[in-house]
Amino acid sequence: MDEQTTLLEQIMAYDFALYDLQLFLDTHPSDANALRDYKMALEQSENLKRQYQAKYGPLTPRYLPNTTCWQWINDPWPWDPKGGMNNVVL
Amino acid sequence: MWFYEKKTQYPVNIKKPDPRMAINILTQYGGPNGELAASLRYLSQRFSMPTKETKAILNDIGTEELAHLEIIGTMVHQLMDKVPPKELEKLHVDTIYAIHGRAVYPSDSNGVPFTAAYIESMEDPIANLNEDLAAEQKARATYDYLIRMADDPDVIDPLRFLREREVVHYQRFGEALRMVQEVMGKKKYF
Amino acid sequence: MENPNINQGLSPNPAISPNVVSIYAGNNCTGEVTMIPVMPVRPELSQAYVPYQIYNRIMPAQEALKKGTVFPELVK
Repeated sequence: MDEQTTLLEQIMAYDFALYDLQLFLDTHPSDANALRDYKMALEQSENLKRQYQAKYGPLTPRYLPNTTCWQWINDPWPWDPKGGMNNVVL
Repeated sequence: MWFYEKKTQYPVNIKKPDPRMAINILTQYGGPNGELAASLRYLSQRFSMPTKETKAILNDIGTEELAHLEIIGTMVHQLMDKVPPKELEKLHVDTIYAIHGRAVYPSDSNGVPFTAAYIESMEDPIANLNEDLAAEQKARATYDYLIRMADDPDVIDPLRFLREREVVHYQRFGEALRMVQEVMGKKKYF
Repeated sequence: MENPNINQGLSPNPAISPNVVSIYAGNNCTGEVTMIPVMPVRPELSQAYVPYQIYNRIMPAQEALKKGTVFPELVK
């Protein structure tokens, strides 16, 4: 896997962990352990996304490094076959 | 409101088209136990939840189901990718092709269009949550059937992921039901 | 009679109080306390009960994504 795919795989992993922890926290809102682990995963995710977007473009429309072109529309989109964003191998 | 991130929750990278499998998986797009039914059910029921925790869990699981809808749609799209119409005829999925081409359309595997009759949303949160528990089991069982039919690891992996999510959602809805029963237990609801 | 082992709001140490999870219904984890045991002490007829999960440990993120959950005890 190339660097873009490796970074994306790590982001997917941390974002997934965040979502599973989010659901747990919804039914256990004052669980200190879950909150601690959520915070750690959040820092990892934000850090990796900063690196990813700087090199490979936006993951959300709320990322605008320059105002000369609108990168949000660029290919690949997540569902594109072969060569899409999902060359990730777990 | 909703925000979109340009990635699927789980990687989907199917290299080998398989139209028969595509049509089978379609039931989890627009069928009775599928992700569209799940998202609409939970996102509709959230308005009737009595506590902050239960509003949150209905909201957040409903949102996750939209992400799963995207995974299923991606799988169908990739499984149909560039398959020539004559091939589709040989594989007996030509009747769907005749209407939709190789597009992704919200129906079950027989082409029956999606209907809100697959869901319920009531003012009674205990009725809602019991329906949600049943829905998660039905979805989980449907993924069991699909996984048994699949051979390609690129197809099995996302299906296994989605199946496990149903198991986790069942646990959360179970906890939501415990909470609602606590709250409702303290006052009579008529 | 007061149960000295009920943990007030933090995830309980299973060795000390394995059966009670307390959750707070409030914005900053203050306010009305709702105590929910893992399973009810006096289950009622005509009601369904799913055990309330207690936080133990989570898997590393990459492994969790493959398995479909961060919680080893929920892998079924």
